[in-house]
Amino acid sequence: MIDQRILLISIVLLISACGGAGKQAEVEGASSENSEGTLAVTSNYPMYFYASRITDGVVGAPDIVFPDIDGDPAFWTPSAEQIQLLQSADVVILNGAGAESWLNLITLNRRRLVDTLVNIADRLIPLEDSVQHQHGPEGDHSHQGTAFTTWLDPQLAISQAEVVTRALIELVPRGEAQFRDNMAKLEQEFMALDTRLAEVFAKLDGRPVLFSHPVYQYLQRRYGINGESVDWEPDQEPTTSAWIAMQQILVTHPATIMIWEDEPLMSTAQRLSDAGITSVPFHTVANRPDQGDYLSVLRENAERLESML
Amino acid sequence: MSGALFLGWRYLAHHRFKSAILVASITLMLFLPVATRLLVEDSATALTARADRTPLILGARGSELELVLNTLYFHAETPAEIENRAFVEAQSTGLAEFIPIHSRFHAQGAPIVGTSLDYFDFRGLSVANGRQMGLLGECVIGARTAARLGLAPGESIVSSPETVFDIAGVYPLKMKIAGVLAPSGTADDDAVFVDVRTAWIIQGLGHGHADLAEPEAGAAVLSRRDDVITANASLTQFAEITAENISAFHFHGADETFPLTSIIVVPSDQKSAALLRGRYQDSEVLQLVVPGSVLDDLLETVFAVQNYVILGLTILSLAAAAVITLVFLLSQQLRQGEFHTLLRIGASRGYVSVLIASEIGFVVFISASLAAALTLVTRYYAMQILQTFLTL
Repeated sequence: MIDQRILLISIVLLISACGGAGKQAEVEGASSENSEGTLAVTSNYPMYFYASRITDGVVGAPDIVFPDIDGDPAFWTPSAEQIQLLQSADVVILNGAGAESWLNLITLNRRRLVDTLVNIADRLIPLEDSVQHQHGPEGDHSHQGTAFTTWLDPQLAISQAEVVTRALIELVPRGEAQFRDNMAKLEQEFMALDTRLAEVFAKLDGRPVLFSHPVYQYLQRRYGINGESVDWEPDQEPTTSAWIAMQQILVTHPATIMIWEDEPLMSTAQRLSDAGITSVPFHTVANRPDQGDYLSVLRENAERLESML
Repeated sequence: MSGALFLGWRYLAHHRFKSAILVASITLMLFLPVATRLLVEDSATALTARADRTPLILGARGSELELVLNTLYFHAETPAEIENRAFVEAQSTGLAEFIPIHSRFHAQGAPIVGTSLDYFDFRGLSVANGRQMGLLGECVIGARTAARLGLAPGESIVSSPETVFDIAGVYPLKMKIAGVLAPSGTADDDAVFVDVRTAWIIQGLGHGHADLAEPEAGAAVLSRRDDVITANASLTQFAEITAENISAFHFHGADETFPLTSIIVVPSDQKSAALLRGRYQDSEVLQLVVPGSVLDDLLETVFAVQNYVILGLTILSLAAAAVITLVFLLSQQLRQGEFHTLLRIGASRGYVSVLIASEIGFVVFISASLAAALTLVTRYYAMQILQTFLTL
C-alpha cells in the first residue's frame, strides 16, 4: 500500500512537472524524509497550511499533500488519479461547512475524513439566497448550504487547526508533544493576525463596504464590517443589470470601498473609481498563492486595505 | 486366469444393455447417499465460513435469515430497510468498524451492492483489472459477472427497474465499470459493487438535471414564483453520470434518512461485541444478529432433512442391491449350459468361479469409478448448486 502511494504521488508529480514551467507542483508536500509512510491529504490550501505547520520538523509525521486544483477548491472535481490519491490517504482533512461539494460525488473511506468544523457547526453562517425548485412528487427543495470561507476568521482557524492537530496525533501518537508545540506557535501567529486585522478593520469605523462576492461572511462577522455583497467576478466585466443592482444597493448603503477576491479588470476598477468606489483586493487564499503563504497573504491583505483608508 | 477375465469382459461387452443398466443402478446406489452428504457438508462449510468471517450484522427487526442471506449472498428477499441514521449513530460509538450494505437492485441479473471501500478490505477483495470505483456512478464488478456478461473496465452496465410497470419509480442508471475484481470463489464474484450513494441515486433519492435557474432550462420550467421554480414533466433527469454532468447531481433530504438494507459490524474485541449486542437488545426497530448462529439454526434443519433423505436412499439402495443380486443369481441359472460346456472342454471350477467373479467385479468397479467421478463433479459445483438454492 505504501509503495502504491509513493508511486501514485510520483505519477501525479510527474504529470505536474510535464504540465508547464510556471505551473505549481501538482501535489504540494509529497514525501518528506521524516515521513514513515502515512499520508494526509487536504481539501484546500488553508487546511494544507495548518497541517504543514503543525507537522513541521516532526520526525515520523505524515506526508501532507494538497492536490493541484485549478481555480476555487470549492468547485473542484477530482481526477481519477486524484481520487486514487484521496482513497489511499490515511486521513483526508476537510474544511467542512460544504466547502467540499465534490465529497458526495466520489467514493472515499468515510472513516478517514476529518471535518475540521464538525465541533463548531453552531458558529457557521447559513446562506440565505438559495433558489427553491420543484419537480416530481418531492415538493419544493433547494440546495442550500452554509458559508465556508471560515479560515478568514482567525478564531475559527484556530478551532480548525486544533481539530487537525488531534487528527495528526491520532495518526502518529508519538509526535503528540511536537504537534502540540507547533500548534501553540501557530495559535500565536493566528492571534497576531487577528489583532492586526482587527486594527485595520477598526479604521473603517462603520463605513459601508461592498464585497465583490459573497465569500467574506466570516471576516465580516468577526470584525463587524458594515458590508453588502454583490456577485461579481474580478476577471469578468459586470453586466448592465449588475451595475444597476449595485446602484440600488448604494442608495441605502453608500460604500466607497469594494473588496475583491482578486485584482479586478482595469475597466471595472476605473468605472468604480468614477463612481467614487475604491477597489481593494483581499485574497481569500482558498487555493495555493503564487507567492507567500496563508499568513503572509492575509497580512498583505490587511496592509493593502490599510493603505487605502 | 487372464482368459477368464477376458471372457468375463467380453460377456459384459456383448450384453451391453444389461451391463449398462446394472452399472447405472449400482452407480446411483453408491453416488446418491454419498453425494447428498457431501453436498450438504460442503455447502454447510461454505455457508458457515462466510458467515463466520462476518462477526455481526445490524439490520431491521424481522426475519434474521433474510437479513443474513441478503447481507452475505445478496440474493435472498430484500429485508426491511433501516435508516442511514443507524449507521451514523453506530459509528459514533467507536466500538467497531461498520460497513453499510444496500442490496436491493439488480443489473442484468447481477445484484447491485451499495457499500463503502471498507467492504473490499474486509472481504480481502482486490481489483484484478482496472481500478477501484471513484466517481459517483462508477462500479466494480465481480469476476463471474464480468465473464458472464463479457464486460471489462471502461464499459457500462445498466441497472434494472424493480418491476416492468415501475414507470414512475426507479430510473435505470448506466454505470461505468471502473474495475473487475479478482475471483474470490464467493458471492462477491456475482455482484456489481457501487458506492452506497450511487445505490441511493438508483433508488431515486438523488438525481441530476439541468439547472432550472439557467436560461437553457426554460422549456422545462412551469413557473417561477419568487424564489421557487417549478419544473414541468419535460425536465429530464440524467440517466448516466459523466464528468460533464456530475456536478449537477444532488440528493434530496438528509443523508441520515436514506436507506440501507444492513450494516456489517466488525467489533474491535469481545467486549465491544458484548456492548454492541447489549445496545441493540431492546431496540424495537433494529436487531444485531450473529450470522454464524442464524445459519447454524438453518443448517440444523438442513441436516435433519438430510438424515431422513439419506435413510430413505439407504433403504432404496438395499432394495436395489437385493434386486441386483437376484439378477446375477438368475443370470447364472440361465448360463448353466455355458458353464457346463466350459467344464467339459477342460476349464476348472475355479476358472468358472473367476469368470463369474470378474463379471461382477467389472460391473462394481466401473460403477464405483463413475460414482466417484460424479461425486467429484458434484463437490466442484457445490457452491453454484447452493447459490441456486438460495436464489430460489
